[in-house]
Amino acid sequence: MTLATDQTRTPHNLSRNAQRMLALRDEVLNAWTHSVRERLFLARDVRPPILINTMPIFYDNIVESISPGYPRTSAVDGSSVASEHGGERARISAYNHAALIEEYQIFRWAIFHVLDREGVRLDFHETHAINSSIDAGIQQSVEAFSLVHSGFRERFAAALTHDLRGPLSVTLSALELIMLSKDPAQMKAWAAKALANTRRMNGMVDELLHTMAFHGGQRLQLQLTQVAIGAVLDEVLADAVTAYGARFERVGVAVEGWWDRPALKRVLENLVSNAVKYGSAGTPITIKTDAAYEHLILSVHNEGAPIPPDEQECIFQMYRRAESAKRNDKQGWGIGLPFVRAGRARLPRRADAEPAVILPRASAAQLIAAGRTAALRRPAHHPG
Amino acid sequence: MQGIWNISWANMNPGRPPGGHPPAPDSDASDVSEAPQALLRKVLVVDDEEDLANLAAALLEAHGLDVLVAYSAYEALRLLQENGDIDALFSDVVMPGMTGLQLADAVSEMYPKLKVVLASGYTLPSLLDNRARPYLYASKPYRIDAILKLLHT
Repeated sequence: MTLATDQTRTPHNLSRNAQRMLALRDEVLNAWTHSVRERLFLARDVRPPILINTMPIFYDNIVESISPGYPRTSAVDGSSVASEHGGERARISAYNHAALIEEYQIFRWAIFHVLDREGVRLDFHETHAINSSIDAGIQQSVEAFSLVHSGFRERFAAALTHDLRGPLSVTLSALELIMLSKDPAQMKAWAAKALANTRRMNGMVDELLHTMAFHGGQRLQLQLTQVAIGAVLDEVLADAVTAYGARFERVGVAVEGWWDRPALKRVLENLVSNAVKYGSAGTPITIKTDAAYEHLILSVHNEGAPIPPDEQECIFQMYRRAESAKRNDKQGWGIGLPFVRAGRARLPRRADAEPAVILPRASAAQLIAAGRTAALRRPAHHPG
Repeated sequence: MQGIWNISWANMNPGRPPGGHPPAPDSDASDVSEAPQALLRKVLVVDDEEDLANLAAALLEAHGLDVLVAYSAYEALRLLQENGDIDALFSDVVMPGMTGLQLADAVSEMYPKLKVVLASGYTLPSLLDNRARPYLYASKPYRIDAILKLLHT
């Protein structure tokens, strides 16, 4: 059976080499999958169905294209299969352009490697058809990939300006009221409101810059001091109670360690606000702190519909937000949880942490998204 | 004004009659004070950002308007039903659940004489595209005099 996009049910019209190539599809895909995981760092954690994506269809289109007299001359003729692949890679993986192109180069290698190993001798025209199909596939995939990323950036910019204009509007309105007021007490209250919102904007800009710097390849500059996690949590939860009401419960043990306090606080704020945003309204949110093996293990748990497994990776990627969140009109920049992930340490991932996120370089923090629990694992000892 | 901020403008502007317009020193809004006010006395402010809703309400009150505040579109609809004397709606656009645009559409249908002014921090040109009715619109952050001018348009 062929999976080609023109849905030919009887591949007997295919040339002999095309039929042999069709029979070797699984072997080629296995070789490709193995090599992609080995050579592409960004592909290592991509789940099998997502990794394989539309490649079997693309492969069968190539098979048709090498058959003389068969109407198809390229794998992308009359098909969006390569565009779909590029768009999908942009939407639900951490791939960049280079990874996407390399994936196709490995696909080219896998085809020729398996065919050669199995004694399939290709003539010049068949070799040319395979190469031109893959080249056209790369072009269409990269175009779609860029288009999707461009859309992400536009939405991100729109959400960013919207969210910054919130506190900016409060600040300006408070200042206008101060200008109008003659009551010192009210003037002071509005000044406090303006100040708090200016600080909020500053925090948002800091978070943005840190995340952008990380995604630009820079390492986060951390200022490590001895920190009691309880004190930071007290501050975060005091603000959270003001904003979201008294629905937070703290459990676990007191833990002290060496962390960058402002960065740790922003991480906690992000976890808590995401727990509120994506949980059921009014339900309890539990923040648990544990210490084990000289690590702080912090988990934030809410209640509500679980994030589908295939969306769990998206929520930790820059600009990306879960489809379920978009459907529910949840607002956000899509940088909060990527910020939590930022600062990846050069430490091996734990096999039981899926998806595992390693946090700032001086630490060994891991964020685990399992069901509705986000757990943060950070070392309690001084890393230096 | 309903909500957590109950501000006495009489203290700020002694001698002004209730519902009258206090002076707005150092503000372009003084032009607005000269505009005809007969058709606009009570405004419903809607914004899910509570601070901003309260501040907008305080500013509108400072310019002599009666103001009700709602923090969601649903609350706004309830207040409209309970207060038949509301002359204008001033609403944020992007809100969870029912959006400001949906609210504006519903209000225009149910209360066709009500003035509707929308405000948003989004600048996407498509935001107000393909609407059955055109709405007066201001970008955030706004000066209150600009909102007053729209409300009096």
